[in-house]
Amino acid sequence: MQNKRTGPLCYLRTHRRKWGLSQKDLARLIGTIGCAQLSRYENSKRAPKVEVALACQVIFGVIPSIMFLDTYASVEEEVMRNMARMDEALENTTSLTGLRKRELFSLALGRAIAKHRRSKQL
Amino acid sequence: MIDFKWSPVLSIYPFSRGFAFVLFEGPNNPFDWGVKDIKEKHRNEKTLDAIKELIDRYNPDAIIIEETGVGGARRSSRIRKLYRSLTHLCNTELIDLHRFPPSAIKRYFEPVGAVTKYEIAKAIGRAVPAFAHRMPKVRKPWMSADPKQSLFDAAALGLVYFGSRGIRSPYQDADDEQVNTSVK
Repeated sequence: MQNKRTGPLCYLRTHRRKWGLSQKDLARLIGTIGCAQLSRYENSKRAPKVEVALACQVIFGVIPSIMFLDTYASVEEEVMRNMARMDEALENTTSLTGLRKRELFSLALGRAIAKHRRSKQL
Repeated sequence: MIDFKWSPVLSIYPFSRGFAFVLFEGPNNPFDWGVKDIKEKHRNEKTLDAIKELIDRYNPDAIIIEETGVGGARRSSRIRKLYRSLTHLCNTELIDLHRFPPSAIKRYFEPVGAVTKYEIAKAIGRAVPAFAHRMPKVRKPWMSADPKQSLFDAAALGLVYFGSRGIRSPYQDADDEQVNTSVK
């Protein structure tokens, strides 16, 4: 059974259809993938390669973190988990490099929280 | 996982050879749309299956259909039966169902001077660029309705729903412009 969707997964199909492009047209524009692969990206069955994400930005002018929302969310979750683990390991550090790393982690966390708040307000 | 605010609205407009649907994220943001052909026997069952598939896929907050009761649209007995089945489906899936009569649609589009279905389709095409290239042909009295027209009928229902919720209409700017030009 299909899981119920709690959020939009990917806006690629929406943008493609908005401009009257077929999958074949868009695959030809991107140049490195076929229709079948494009369909997988549209239905969030595969995460897009960075070349494809950037090609979509070139074509539609939409940044990959918005176009491939679900991929971005899963990447963000994974990175945040790794970051928390690394931050925990650096908890008692007094070295300048260690402190600098922890500063980066807190900035990244702040950005993620701000983004989360904005998406809730919309 | 990020908790996206996802509260889409699915408007459905069945016609003799299938049904049209538009999934809106907001009045200016259709997320998905299409016209599904259902031609053979047991059309209501097949239509309901297709709608159920859309519900499972998108999990909409509300479904919008037209009112066919007193003062509502004149539709065939098959489509009235389909609406009854859809009401039952919405009850079992715990989805809000909203109905709007054709008079509400006409009232909504009156400020932009759109009265006929074609004029309403043109008004929608102007406000929602995603539909602009899907305009139906002008229908002559001897022609049957273009299936593309039903896509705009579904979109009109969705826009009326957002209007009833007090969400700013994409025609608000056009209204303001009209008022400004009439003042001048």
